[in-house]
Amino acid sequence: MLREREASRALAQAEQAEARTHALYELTTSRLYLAKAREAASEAHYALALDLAERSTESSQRARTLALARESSLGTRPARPGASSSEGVSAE
Amino acid sequence: MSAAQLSLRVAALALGASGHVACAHGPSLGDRMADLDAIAREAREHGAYRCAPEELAIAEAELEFARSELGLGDPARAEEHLVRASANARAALRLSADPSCRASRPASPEASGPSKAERLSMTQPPLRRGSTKEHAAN
Repeated sequence: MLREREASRALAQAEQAEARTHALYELTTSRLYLAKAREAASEAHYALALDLAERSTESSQRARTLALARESSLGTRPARPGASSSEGVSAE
Repeated sequence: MSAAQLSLRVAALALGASGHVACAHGPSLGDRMADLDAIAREAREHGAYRCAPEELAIAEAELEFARSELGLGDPARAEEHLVRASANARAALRLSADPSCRASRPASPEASGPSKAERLSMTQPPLRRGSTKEHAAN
């Protein structure tokens, strides 16, 4: 689907902009929406898939914008306080 | 007892049993969602956007997916999302309660992430799953 490809591209751009370091909240949201969009598309729920893919794209764009702004304002990568895990918490 | 009376009695017993089982399951999905919503909100207020961004994002998104699935009549899938939301909302709250998180809390409004209004604007309209298989042209 076109929107899914757009969302994937936007996500890749956010990752390239170091969103993992500077905008992890937005990047994670984007990944989850994209995964859910793919799930919806695989079940032929196209309206839902479209909605989720668009939201994933929005979140990636926000992540990229924040990451670029934070990178340029800080000059260096900030150390994240606390010990947030790299993969969230598994429900398994 | 006639066959009709017997059928009615069996149906009544089945209804009673199902009601009993439902009560034995504890709080409803809706109640649990409300509780988790409060936990995620509290974590956010304590600085989880900075100290546990990944956990907070997962908690909020999974909660939204759970709500959507429940609205669409799929409680089993809603439950799966709710389990993930629960684990991450609690982790976000725990991490945001860490003294290092509180000590590093900056004064700027941006530090707590997008405002509720901003988040709503990012997530509106609500997730929908329509009978739109014929509208796949995108």
